[in-house]
Amino acid sequence: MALPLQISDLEVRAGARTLLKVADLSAPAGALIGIRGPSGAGKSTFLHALSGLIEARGRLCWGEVDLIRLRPEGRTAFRAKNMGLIFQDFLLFDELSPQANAGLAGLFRVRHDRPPISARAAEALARLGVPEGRRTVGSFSGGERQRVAIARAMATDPGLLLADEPTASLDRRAADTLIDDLTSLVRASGKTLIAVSHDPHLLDRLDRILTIEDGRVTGDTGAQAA
Amino acid sequence: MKHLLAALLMMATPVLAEDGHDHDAPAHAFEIGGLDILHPWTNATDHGPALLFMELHNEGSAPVEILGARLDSGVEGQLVGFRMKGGEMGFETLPPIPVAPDRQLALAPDGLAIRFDGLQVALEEGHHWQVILMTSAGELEIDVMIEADDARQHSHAGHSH
Amino acid sequence: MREIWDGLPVLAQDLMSAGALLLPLLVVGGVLLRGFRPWSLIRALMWRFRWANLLFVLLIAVSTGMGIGLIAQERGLRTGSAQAAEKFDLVVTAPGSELTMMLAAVFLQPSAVPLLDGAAYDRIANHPQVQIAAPVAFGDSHDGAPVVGTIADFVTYLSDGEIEGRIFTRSGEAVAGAAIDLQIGDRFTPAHGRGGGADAEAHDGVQIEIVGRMARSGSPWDRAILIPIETVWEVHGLANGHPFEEGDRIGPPFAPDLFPGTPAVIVHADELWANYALRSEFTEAGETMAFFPGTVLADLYRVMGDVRQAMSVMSVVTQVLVAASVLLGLFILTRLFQRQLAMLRALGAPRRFVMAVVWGYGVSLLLAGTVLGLAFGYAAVLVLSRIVTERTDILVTASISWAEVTLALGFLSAMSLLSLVPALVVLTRPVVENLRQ
Repeated sequence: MALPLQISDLEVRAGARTLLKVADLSAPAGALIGIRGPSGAGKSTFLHALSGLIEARGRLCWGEVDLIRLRPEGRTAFRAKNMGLIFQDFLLFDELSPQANAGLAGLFRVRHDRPPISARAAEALARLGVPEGRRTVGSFSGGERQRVAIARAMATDPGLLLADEPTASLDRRAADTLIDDLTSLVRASGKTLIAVSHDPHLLDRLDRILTIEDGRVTGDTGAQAA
Repeated sequence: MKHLLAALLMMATPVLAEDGHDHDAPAHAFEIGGLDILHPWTNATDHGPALLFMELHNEGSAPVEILGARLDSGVEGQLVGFRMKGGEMGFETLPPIPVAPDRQLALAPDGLAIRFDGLQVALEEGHHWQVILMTSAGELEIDVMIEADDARQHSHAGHSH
Repeated sequence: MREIWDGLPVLAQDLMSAGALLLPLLVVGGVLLRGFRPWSLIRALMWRFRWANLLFVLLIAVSTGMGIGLIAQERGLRTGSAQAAEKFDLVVTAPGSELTMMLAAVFLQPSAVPLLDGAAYDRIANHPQVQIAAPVAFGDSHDGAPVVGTIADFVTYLSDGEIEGRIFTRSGEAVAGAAIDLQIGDRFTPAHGRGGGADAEAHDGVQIEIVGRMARSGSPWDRAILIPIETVWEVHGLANGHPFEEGDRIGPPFAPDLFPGTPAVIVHADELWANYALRSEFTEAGETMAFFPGTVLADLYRVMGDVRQAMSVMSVVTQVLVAASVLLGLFILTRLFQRQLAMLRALGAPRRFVMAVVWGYGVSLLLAGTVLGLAFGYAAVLVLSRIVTERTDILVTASISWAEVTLALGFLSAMSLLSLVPALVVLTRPVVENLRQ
């Protein structure tokens, strides 16, 4: 189930330095949001704060749950249930098949979660056009790999997808097909997508673009629309 | 006669008795029915089995059988013989062994011994242990010297021979 | 508690010790792995670093195999030598070193030993409790094999009656040990002495015929040629123990004044207990010395046991060092896949799962190394046993016993606990930093 986002007075610090400060931000469930900005501006830090991977202050609520109030293991469990993560360089196990990679979450979930995870992984792989079979992903092209990574993110049926530069490792053609597939898959399933990206082709396809500069949100195309 | 002389010598030698022993210094030699018993000793042990060793010499005119030994508490000790079987060292229970007149028999490590299983109290080095030796000539209380747990002979052995 | 334990069958004790040793491994494994399926990831890591992993496994296997081989070989030698001496209940010789006498009389090692005279032999042979009193006379050889003079009863006793052909019945006949390269009907001339100093011409003109062959016994007697002791004496120009009017009769009784002497008498009593009494009786200051080869061996094994312990300590130290370097290697390897471990955490995998992957990976290497080590150890023992048996004729059988298994399991268990260290260290690294690399 997609969850609405509500942020107030979010602050991420490293020692005395403030890396990120977001006074007020909200987004409805099912929104497709892009985050852009220069390197080192704090885009990834924002994404990590949204996924609960780093310590932050203030309020960061996904639905009713304030991630900042949760203990680290609570955030891990929340992530496992509600978030799918997509990385720039895929982070797959090259030695495993696409099916095994996409169904990875089943390895650490309780027994009765495993069949649905595996079924959704297979379904996502099929919809994304990933070749079936026993070949390991080590032999796959970049585009195919990122599809496997997307299928992995979708397999637990999370409400939120968080993507960090999902097209940066792909050539233009592969990136464009992936953008088509990703956005249509996300829209069809009603999930929330937050993608950090430099890629204008990707950003063009999203509902709302946040610009982050020097740790602050300096632009928001959807401030009024939302 | 040599043994008797040695035994007398031993008795004359002051022996350090441990605390709580207010009777005379324990002896190293005993006699029953012509059978001389010299240097009874055992190894210190926390929990059995304890092996009782001694030298026997029949100075009498009739054979004497060694049957075994027992404690006041009723625990019985059996005659056993050391055996190497299939590369494993072990003991076998033996029937009574006769000592003919003018013959000797040594109970010594890796040979004959009287074995006590299931001792309730630990045997501490330097202390003494009261054991009743059972022979065909009757029973006799002997005072057994407790030597170190790795001792291979009575600490006075060798002095007398 | 102790009494209950002592009352258990040996196998139950062994199984329980093994179980107790494995308990830490099983507990840690159970706690870490419960509900998880990390094996496909562990297999992936195994394959990714296959050459490094292979090296680790071989290192563990070699160090484990060395330790195991050492212990098993020592035990094999101990069992083999004890079995070779089993038929020799009691040995009576002239006073001297029990060890030297045992090596000469039981293991047939060449050495110059003093003789017992006819009176001493007579006293032993006529003792009511003595069933066999076999004089053994050595010093001659044929083609490197000792030629031993004794009596027919002893040959029968030694071979349990398993003789191909027949026993010797007159002077000049011989029964060969199983490993002797002579056929029944062959004739040979004994050389005087043994080894390099043997004088092949000393007994020229003497012909001894092989009339029988003993079954294999796994002792140095397999490589001996047994002849009537009378033949030994006659060949050396001595009286043959019998008065002239007895003709060609061989074997006991011997006339004490015509008995030229024997280095040792092997005594077999009809009753077990009698051996102990006989030892006391035949130990007479300045005249004879009686000893149990088993006891002499036991003393020897005690010394060997100390050496074994020292060697065991060394091999354990080696194993620990190898294991430490393997763990260090594991440490370095986890750095190579820590991004993927961070990814697992980012995906919502619990800490315990990440630990299970790292720990399971380490333990798989240790387990493979230990199992292979047992095989290596067994192979080493097999080869060593064959060499020892070939050189000494003491039948040394290779076997891996619970002692070795226990050693391997203890090592495995201890190292599996240590493998928790890299697993824990992985968790101390911040997820985000590892993701960013």
